[in-house]
Amino acid sequence: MFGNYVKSAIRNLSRQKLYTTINVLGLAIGLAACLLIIGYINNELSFENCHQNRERIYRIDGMYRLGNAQVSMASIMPAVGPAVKEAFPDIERMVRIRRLWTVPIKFTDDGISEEREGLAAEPELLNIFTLPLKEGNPRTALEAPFSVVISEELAKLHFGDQSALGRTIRARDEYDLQITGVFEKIPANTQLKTDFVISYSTLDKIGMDTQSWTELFQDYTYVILREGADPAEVEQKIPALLKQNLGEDKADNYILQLQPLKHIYLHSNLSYELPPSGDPVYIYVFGCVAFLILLIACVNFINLSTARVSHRLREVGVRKVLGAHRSQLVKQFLSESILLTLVAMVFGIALFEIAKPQLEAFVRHQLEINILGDPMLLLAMSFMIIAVGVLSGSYPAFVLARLQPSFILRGEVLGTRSGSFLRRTLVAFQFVIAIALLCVTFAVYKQINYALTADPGFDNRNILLIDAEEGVSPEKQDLIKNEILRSGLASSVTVTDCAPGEPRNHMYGLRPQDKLDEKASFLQGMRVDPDYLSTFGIKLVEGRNFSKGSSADAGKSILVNQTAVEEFGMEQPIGFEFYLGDKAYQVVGVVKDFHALPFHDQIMPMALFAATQNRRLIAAKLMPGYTSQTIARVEKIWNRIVPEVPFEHSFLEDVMSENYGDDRRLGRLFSTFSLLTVFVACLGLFGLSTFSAERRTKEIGIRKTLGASVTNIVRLLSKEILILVVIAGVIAFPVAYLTIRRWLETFAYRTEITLTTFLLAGLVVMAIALATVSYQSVKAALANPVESLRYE
Amino acid sequence: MIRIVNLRKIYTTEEVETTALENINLEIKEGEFVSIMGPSGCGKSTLLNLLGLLDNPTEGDYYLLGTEVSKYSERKRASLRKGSIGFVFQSFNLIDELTVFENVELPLLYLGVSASRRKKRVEEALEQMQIMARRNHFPQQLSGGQQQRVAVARAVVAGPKLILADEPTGNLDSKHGDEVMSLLSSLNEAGTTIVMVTHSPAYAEYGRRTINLFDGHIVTENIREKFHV
Repeated sequence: MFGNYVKSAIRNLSRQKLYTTINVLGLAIGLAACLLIIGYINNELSFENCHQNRERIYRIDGMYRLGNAQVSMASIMPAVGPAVKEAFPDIERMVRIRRLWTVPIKFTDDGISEEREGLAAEPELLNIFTLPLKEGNPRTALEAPFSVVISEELAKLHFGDQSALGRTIRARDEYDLQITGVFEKIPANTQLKTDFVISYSTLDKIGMDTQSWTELFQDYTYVILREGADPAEVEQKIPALLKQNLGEDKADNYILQLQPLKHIYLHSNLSYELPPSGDPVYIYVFGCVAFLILLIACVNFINLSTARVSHRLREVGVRKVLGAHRSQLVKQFLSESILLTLVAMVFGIALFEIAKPQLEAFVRHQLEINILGDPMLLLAMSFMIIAVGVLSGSYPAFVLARLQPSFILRGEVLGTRSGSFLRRTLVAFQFVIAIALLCVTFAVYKQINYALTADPGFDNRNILLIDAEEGVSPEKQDLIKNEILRSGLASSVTVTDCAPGEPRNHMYGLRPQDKLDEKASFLQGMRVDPDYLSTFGIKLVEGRNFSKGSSADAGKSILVNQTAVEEFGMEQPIGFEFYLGDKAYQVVGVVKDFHALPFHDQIMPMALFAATQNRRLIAAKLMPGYTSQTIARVEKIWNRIVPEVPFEHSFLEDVMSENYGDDRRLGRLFSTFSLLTVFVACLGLFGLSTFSAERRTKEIGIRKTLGASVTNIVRLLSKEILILVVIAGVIAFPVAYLTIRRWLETFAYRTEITLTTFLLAGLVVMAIALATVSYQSVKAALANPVESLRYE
Repeated sequence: MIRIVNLRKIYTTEEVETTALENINLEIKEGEFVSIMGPSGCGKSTLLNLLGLLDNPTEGDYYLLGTEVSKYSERKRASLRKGSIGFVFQSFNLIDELTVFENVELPLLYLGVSASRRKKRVEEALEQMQIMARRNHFPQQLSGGQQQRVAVARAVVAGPKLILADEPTGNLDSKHGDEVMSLLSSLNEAGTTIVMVTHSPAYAEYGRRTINLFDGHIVTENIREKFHV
């Protein structure tokens, strides 16, 4: 019997090509979206699962308080690790890991240089975390200074099948590191995925601090607790330890907490987190959107099947006459829809493989999804096939199975009226989703556009940024600046530690002169020279700029912004003094507020320090109409002065645009999803309009014989869709409005939500829907009326 | 075999009540061949549907093989229908997606007959209707006469005691019509009860009895002795 169902299902599906294509395509898109999201969620939840001891591993996080503000950080002072390990027996093992960021390395054997992400770590790394070595001794590999363990990928790249042990790498062209181990492939779903790890003992040898009790942002410190130990108990004992080492006063400013390893990736959102970082919000958003697309595809299925009832009537009638029970018919139609879903799943898997790299680009890390090898995913897929098959197949199945055979065989089935109400409701529902998603998409783009084009309060055009952090002395920085100026390539050049619009936020704890007894307050600080204001076009509203050609202001004077004036209630800003520690800084001028940080963040009180040291950036305002030749000439100047340092440059506009990279990716994702939704909904609409034009052939014929024009007929057939889209819009707008408002709240400075956004989305959907329907309506309207009457 | 007492059938739509059959009394004995005639819309097909348990009467009793079935649910009617009643329609009503063999096999599938016995019985029926050579064809690939022969094969395959034929020759030319009628005739001779609706007086003559319906009433009943040419 089942064989018979399958046989007639396959033949039915292959005969009704339009219907089958629409359903398979729609369902495949929906299923692919769901697979992607299930895979994504699975990947997100599996982070750090590769570490066998993950249940007992904790990271010590630091919170640093200063006056009105506090900073929470993923990394802490280097001295803490050894101290807690020694003091608390509950801590079984401890490892300090320091992030080295991107390091230029050169493989001595093949002479190839490249830049790679690296970490420094103590030997316990290999005992606490499950990071097996392919080569080398895990006990000793990270023991000696200047040892390095490299990734399997690097080893293969440079040494092929030969052993990497004992070979050397030159880092930063300063230190030779000996390879003492090679990791086995590190999975993508751990934050410890890195290209190489050097021994922590190396840091001492190259003059980096490993003993400080006060240097924050240094070491990611992980501990493994003894079986059954309570992390809260350990946490409680930490303040006493801090007091012992930092003294009563200072210790109060530091709070250290243990954060479970399993928790970090998705939920920890401190400063200086190791990459990558997950976001549970995306899980919800993606999950909802994928589900919606699948739902729309199911709706197509239901709509098309009920609309097509007349095509199946005879078969149902005959089967009933021959003694089929209703349940047997239901089973038959359900097996048909499940079979269809199965076919769609095959296409869905193909689409999934195509779309996976896009999702990886969005989340900016690889996803460990093995769709056919993961039993969880296979189970989920089987469940999806059955659930979608039953969900979309059961209504049509029951409708068909309910029909009376005597009616069917006389061709007296009327009931299309009630069915068409359901169909209209479902179509309207699809358009609600499509319109709402499109509104959100438009709003996201509007905000990004606003952020990129709104006046940030400074001039970011034609500004070349040159990285002068490593190996360029302050004197040479100034020399380069002057040479660029002298060449006439730039109208203004400044040396600073931070350009406005760079996502860097240096905080300084300052005490205003009238509140010396209180704790310091945080101000955003920048270290600048007198040309900072002219280079970036920042306006001075009161007082004076730092004096040029003398270092008289350095270490003494500051400029503040209007927000600072307001926040500290300075009645006479000029001459007002701030204290950094014991050192006094006098305000010599006030600048107009500008957006030093992206529009997500509120403008903070800000202090610009006159500085001749600790600067890392040369910013040049190039003459308008500069070309690549201009850059080449700047590079020439650079190479003449500091030939040993690579010339690394970027443009401020690009840097600022990248500030909204996440938002833009979200926008792209939303536009993809909303286009898919509109596409799948229109697929269904196209199918429906085909059937409805067929059904109304006779009506159209009669109307035409009575004198209706083609326009009249097209209008008749399109009116229904227009009404549906309008109703859908009315429902979708408030939903979209609330969603947009919530998202915009993540920006301190935001565009307004205007009616245009909504109307535009509604019009776009309406236009697409009309275009979809018009093909069939025009065809029906143009047909010879005699044809349509005879056809009936 | 069939006894109908004071049977009445009314179709109700939202605003209109149509009386399709009124005060029908009828008895059909096992082995009979009864023809039903009448103009369009007189209730012939309605009567056939009621006889075939495709529908329930509004009023009156229907005894099939001695059991009163007029109040049976669709589920019960379906169980009774399969195996004991065979149907032949004017428009053949073959399922386009199934082959000749599969169409004929269908009643046996719903009866739960095993695969090997199904094969045997379908082949027997196809042989009997002389359509064996077309067993793997689809209905669209056959002529009208061939399609109707398949439909007859499907009606007899389960060995029903009663065959209901609704204008079986209506869509056929006279040559094929004659063929189908002689098939029905030979089935009747082998003992199957046949009730046939027809417009053709000539084909009605195949029956031993003709019932004339008009506006939902039985107006005349002609009984004649069977004669063989």
